[in-house]
Amino acid sequence: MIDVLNSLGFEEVRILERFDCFRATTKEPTARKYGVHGANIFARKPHPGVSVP
Amino acid sequence: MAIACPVDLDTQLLRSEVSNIYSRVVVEPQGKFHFHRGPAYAAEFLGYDAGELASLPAETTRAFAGVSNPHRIGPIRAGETVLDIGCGAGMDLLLAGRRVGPAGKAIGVDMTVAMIERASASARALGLAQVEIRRGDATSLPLESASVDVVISNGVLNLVPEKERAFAEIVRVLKPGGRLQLGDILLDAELSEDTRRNIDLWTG
Repeated sequence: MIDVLNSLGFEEVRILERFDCFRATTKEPTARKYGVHGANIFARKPHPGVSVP
Repeated sequence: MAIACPVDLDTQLLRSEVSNIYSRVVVEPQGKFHFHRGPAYAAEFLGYDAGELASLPAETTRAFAGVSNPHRIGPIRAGETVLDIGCGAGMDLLLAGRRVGPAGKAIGVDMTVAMIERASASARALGLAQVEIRRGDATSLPLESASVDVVISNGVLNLVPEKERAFAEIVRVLKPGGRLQLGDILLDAELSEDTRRNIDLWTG
């Protein structure tokens, strides 16, 4: 997802926070297996003059 | 996160499954699901302000099923136009509506009729005339180009098979300099092709 945001020309792309949102659910083992977690992500659309595909 | 959708994945079936599951969340939020719901989860796991959530209609907060907290990413300012993609029962949308105030606009888009009705009823109950909910899809947003200051979303884009189209739509509707405050699922491991064909895992 981060790569996609960067490829679209977004600026300041960053992950700010992560959340263990599947803890204590039936999907927790799957989440642990694949490293699935919630995340807060910020990105900014460039101002004019910067090419966005 | 693996972003590519298998070419033979039945995207209509996936959309239908997603819609069915989240419609059931509205009707039966205390039912059996493989993900957390509700205000206690939102406060304990995701850092929402419990007092602020208590001031929202319980019908909306009970059906909250997000995976993170876009409101912790950055401020939403009075007078801004905010778009919530996949607004669900409206918890994040109503919070955004309060932050933008009467001079702003908080627009929710969702493909699930039950969610739209729930979010609309809660906005009316709170008297938030600046909140509007439209039926639509992340890959074809019912908004004008360059009309939005902030796009928020919470646990939705990971359910969209055509992610590149969805992100292209976000680029289109954002004003230059506009912010994406995205809460979503990330994976540390690359998924196999077989795993990415498993609709149960997509909806989970």
